[in-house]
Amino acid sequence: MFRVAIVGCGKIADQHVQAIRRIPDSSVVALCDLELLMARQLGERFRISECFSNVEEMLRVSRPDVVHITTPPQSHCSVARNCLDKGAHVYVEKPFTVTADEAEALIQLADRRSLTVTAGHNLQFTPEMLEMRHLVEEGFLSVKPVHLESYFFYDLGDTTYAKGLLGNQNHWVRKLPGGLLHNIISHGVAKLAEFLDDELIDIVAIAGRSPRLKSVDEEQILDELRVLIRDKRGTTAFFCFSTQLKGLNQLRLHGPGGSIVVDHISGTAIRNKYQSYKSYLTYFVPPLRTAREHLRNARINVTNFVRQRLHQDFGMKELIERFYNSIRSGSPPPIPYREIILTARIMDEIFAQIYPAQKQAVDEHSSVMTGDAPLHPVSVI
Amino acid sequence: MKCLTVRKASATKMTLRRPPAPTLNSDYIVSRDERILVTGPCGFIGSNVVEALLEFGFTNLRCFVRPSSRLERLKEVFDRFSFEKNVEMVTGDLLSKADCRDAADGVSVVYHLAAGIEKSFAGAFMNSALATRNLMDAFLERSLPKRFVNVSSFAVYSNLSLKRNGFLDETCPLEAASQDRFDAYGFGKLKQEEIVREYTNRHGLPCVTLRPGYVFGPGKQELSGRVGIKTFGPFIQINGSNQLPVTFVSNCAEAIVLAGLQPGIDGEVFNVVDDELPTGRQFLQACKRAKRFRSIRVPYWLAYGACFAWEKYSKWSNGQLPPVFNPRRCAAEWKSQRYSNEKLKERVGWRPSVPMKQAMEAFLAHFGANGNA
Repeated sequence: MFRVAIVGCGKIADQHVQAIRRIPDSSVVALCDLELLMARQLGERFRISECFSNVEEMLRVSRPDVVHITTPPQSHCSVARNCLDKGAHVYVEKPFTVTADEAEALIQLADRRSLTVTAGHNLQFTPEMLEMRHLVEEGFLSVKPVHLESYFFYDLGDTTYAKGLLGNQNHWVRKLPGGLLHNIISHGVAKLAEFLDDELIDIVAIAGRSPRLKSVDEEQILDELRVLIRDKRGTTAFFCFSTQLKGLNQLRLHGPGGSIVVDHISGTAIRNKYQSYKSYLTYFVPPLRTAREHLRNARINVTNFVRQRLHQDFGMKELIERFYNSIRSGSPPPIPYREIILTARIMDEIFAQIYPAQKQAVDEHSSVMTGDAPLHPVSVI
Repeated sequence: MKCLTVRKASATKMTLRRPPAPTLNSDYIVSRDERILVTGPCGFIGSNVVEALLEFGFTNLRCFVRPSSRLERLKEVFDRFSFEKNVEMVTGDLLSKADCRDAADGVSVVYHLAAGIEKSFAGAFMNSALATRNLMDAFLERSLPKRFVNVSSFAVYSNLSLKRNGFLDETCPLEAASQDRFDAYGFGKLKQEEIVREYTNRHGLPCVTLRPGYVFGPGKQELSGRVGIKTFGPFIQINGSNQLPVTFVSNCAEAIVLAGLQPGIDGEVFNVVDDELPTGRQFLQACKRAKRFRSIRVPYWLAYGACFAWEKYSKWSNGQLPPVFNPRRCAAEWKSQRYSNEKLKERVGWRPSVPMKQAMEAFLAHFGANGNA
């Protein structure tokens, strides 16, 4: 039985507990939050009796095998170090750390301790992403993707999170080097990192504010981001984060043989094989093929629903289960460390370009990496 | 003492409210110039509480607002009075202990209406229970507390074991399984009440808790969930013969204000509902007269069966469908119960100033123009 602890009992901790409860031979045994009442409210609802307000004490008393860190990003590195030092494997919510240097240091520490860490890039493990990976491995695109596009929409009207952020000048999200973007874009960037080479030649980032932010005189937060990336092999990628393109949450992969469009909103992976047709057939056949693709995806989703495989947190449960299995079997972790570090590097570069004044602060943060960063609940996006 | 001099209420408003009290009841535990703190003053109920306090003649008000709060309602209230300079606005976050200390400094009575309207349990807990804890700590530290008025909700009750048409009063059991009921708001309010009870017992903080039913009035644009549920198509009315525990917003505000003034009620809990309560069917029919929309009626037994089946499936599928509908929620929202405001009338001396007929007219005039079914 895996003994699991959760540090940071905010909104997303509920999802972690629910996902872990569906994984065989795993049990949440301890909860920790600087605000003890937060740990207790979670414990009361899920009947978890060991609640703490101090990580050290929790690690000493409960001796968990794995710790899930769901605190604000500023404390991820220090808490994770603490857990690794005490011999616990660590699942860190996204963003993995504040900077790439921290990410590398953490992974090196885990290696030295023969422990495993992973980042909470759970959208990498949704059914449609698994289907996409399967298609790529099968050679649907002929070779590796030549061009990638990742679109990520975030609803600023979400009262559970954005309202609190917009209304609070001291919100912890504002204190991140990349602000709102820092807390959210790792999901979309990680999807690109999976197919990009470690050596990047170009990153060009531009950012701005949506009319909604302008209307409330918000001057600190940027909520529109476009990024163009090229790696050493010549693979190009485009990343778009927007609070205006409602419902656009996609990954598009283009190869010489075809393309795949992964849509997180509808849970579909649409294949598009490049094929030429004679004369007017080019107007008739491709739309019908696309319609057949959508029907195929609808059938898959219905089947998954009937088989109870369409939980809304499927990606998180899948990632956690794979993480636990990798620990048990000693196999590689579900998200290669290369991807975690590359994601962090891309984010560092983006924020350095769009918030140049804050680059110095980031560097200072990296060099300090204090162990007394505050623990507060992290929010769900 | 700063005095209320001129009142500039509109004609419509005037008809719905009682005239301002020329003299304050000498039995009240606070005088007109003592500082009163109102949290959540920009909300639907909060703005009416501020208005009622001004009408009672209190002149030393402090309104605690979030930086993101929309102040339109409050400004409308101030516009009706000529002495807005005596009302202090404090901006902050109740999750900040420092902000709470600033807000509670020198305050005699706190009307705590700020609520966590969150979908997540953690968020509801934070913004209801933790915020209340911080505020009470500050109240004890920075003031000589006379009364903490905690505004809770009917959502804390569980009527699953009550008989149909039985009385739901202040002695009714509280919900013991908010997680099963899938009610984050109710959970937050329950935990808030727990903390208030703890502070009453452990620190001797004089507290009164009010549990308003569904508060309606001009400005409320959604139909109560106790009438039914809005779907993709027609509005689904559930039950229909169930009495609705409703209270008109200005009546509710007066009850809240009086609960902060009357002596001898510390530690008490009061339900707030009006007289002449309508049934779900009567309420819906009135709304449909003001604004045309389609509805279908589902009897209670059928709704209960569907909720029961939904919950079973949710458990069987390990939460593939969240238990949004479940028997606990079904009973809480749509089961036929009767309600009483006797305790409130007897101990607090409250009477609904606006009769139900007039209250419905005021609500429907606005609902017909802007409302959503």
